[in-house]
Amino acid sequence: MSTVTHSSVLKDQQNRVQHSSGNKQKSDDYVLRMAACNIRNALQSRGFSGQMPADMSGSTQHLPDKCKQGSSNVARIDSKEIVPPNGDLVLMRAKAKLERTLTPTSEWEGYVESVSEDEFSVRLVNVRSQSGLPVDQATFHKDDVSEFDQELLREGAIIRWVIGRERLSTGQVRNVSELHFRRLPSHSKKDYKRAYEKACNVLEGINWDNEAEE
Amino acid sequence: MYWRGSIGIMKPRNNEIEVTIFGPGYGECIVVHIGSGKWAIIDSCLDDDGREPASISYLRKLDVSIDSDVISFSASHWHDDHVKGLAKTISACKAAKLSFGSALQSKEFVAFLYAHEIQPVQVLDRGGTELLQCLKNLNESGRQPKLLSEDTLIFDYGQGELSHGLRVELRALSPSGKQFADFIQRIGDFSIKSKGLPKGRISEPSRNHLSVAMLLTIGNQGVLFGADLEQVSDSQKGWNAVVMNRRGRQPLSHVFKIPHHGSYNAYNKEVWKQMVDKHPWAIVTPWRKGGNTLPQDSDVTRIKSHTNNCYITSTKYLPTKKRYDRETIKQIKATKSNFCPSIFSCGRVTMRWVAGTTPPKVTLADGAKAL
Repeated sequence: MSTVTHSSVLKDQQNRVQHSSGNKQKSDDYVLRMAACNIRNALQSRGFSGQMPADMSGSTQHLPDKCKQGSSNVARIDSKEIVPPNGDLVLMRAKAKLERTLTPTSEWEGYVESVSEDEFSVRLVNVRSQSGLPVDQATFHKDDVSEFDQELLREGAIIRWVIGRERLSTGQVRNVSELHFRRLPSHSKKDYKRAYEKACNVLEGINWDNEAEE
Repeated sequence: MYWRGSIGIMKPRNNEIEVTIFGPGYGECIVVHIGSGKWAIIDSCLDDDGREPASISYLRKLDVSIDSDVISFSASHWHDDHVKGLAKTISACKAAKLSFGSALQSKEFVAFLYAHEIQPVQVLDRGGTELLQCLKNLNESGRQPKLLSEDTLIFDYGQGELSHGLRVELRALSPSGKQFADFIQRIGDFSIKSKGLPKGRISEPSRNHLSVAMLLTIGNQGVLFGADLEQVSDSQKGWNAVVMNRRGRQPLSHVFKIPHHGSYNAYNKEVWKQMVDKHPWAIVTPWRKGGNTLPQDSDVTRIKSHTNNCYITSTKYLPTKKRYDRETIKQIKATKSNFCPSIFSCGRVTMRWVAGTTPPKVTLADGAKAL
């Protein structure tokens, strides 16, 4: 059974999402620390106590005040797991991110050819193609595009489509289809100026036949 | 004298005219024998293997000396979708007089192509790649190309110069002055309107408006090549402008390459009434976009209301099964993305007749068929 997931490519050059992906990591760590704080409070209410390792003291600086008070009772946490202070009960193991590997079966580069009310069609060239000829096409629903990428959906937009097998760290294997909208740099005044200079250079060397006709 | 090329068909005789149209649906190409072993090529598309221009491949199989016997090459389009293999064709046809749409002399237009060229895509063409390569070749080779617009004479041979003794000329019928000016204005606005927009492939919606329709005259016979010129409401643009300009002028065409894949937005009733014979021999090339195919059934009905002698260059798609393994096809199907081939196999329709006579003998190959 295949799963369709759509997400933008996060690694394009000058891609502002690189910054936001770093923020996401910080957000994940904060959530874990908050969770640890809540567990500590729950343990305390039941009479448990524990010591916070000295090397983790710095991690409390971003926690809300209620967690900073009595910080010596915070259970040890790191980015991968929360371990109870005395080992009497295992509360949870949390990992910062689920690992996955994607083995592409096939990959295409393409562009959006037309956009209608509900769907859009793309012309595709297989990345292994020698001719670069977009000999295939496909149609996708607009709903399959994330909100984050909707602004990129227009005629001429460049996309990458990958289908393959995804293996999760849990051992689960599934077929996936990922459509990425390429966040390419914008046209700039400097780009256009450079393009204009190139145009002038190439046209200068061409001698057009403008002879008068009969 | 007869020559049998390596594909088992004969070269046309010196007094014969041949019009061969290739239409795989990603570009199209026309190869014309005008007499005395001289050939002209209009536009370019690639062969089925995607490596060689279909025109070059065909002429090579007929044992034509491409570097000397091709006397003219004209490009009626500028977008990559229609001129794949253009640069290779021009390089091979060393003796050919070259002709391009007049937009090519515009710095704004060429800058527009270059502005789209610089982007980190991997294999996909940018929309203007082929033409830019062609310009680079022209710059380096020093060849002197001609610019085409309404009524430009591309080449001509006077009476008695060719074996059949008839006068031959190829003339551009479009774009009109107003059409050209509008297009350049639009392109010139690009530098302002595109600021801040992410780069992408060129998708200029009015790209067919610069399409160059052409008329080949052999004595008192004509062959009308419709290119992708469209019908617009403005009387000074598109087919309206062509009909007005050609009113009362001879000859009428007995062979007609139907414009823009037979679509309704390229249909002009007056073209059929005033520019072509009754029941001409008509050829249409297929096109596929977004799952829809041109010509549609309604287009075929409309064409057949004008002539029963109508042919389509290809009806076979490039099969997916031959290009992808079973597992990949299974995974593609599971995505429910309506994945399908977008181009057809490179079929051809050949019409050949003794100059000054009719009807032509029609040969269909590689998926071409009568409509």
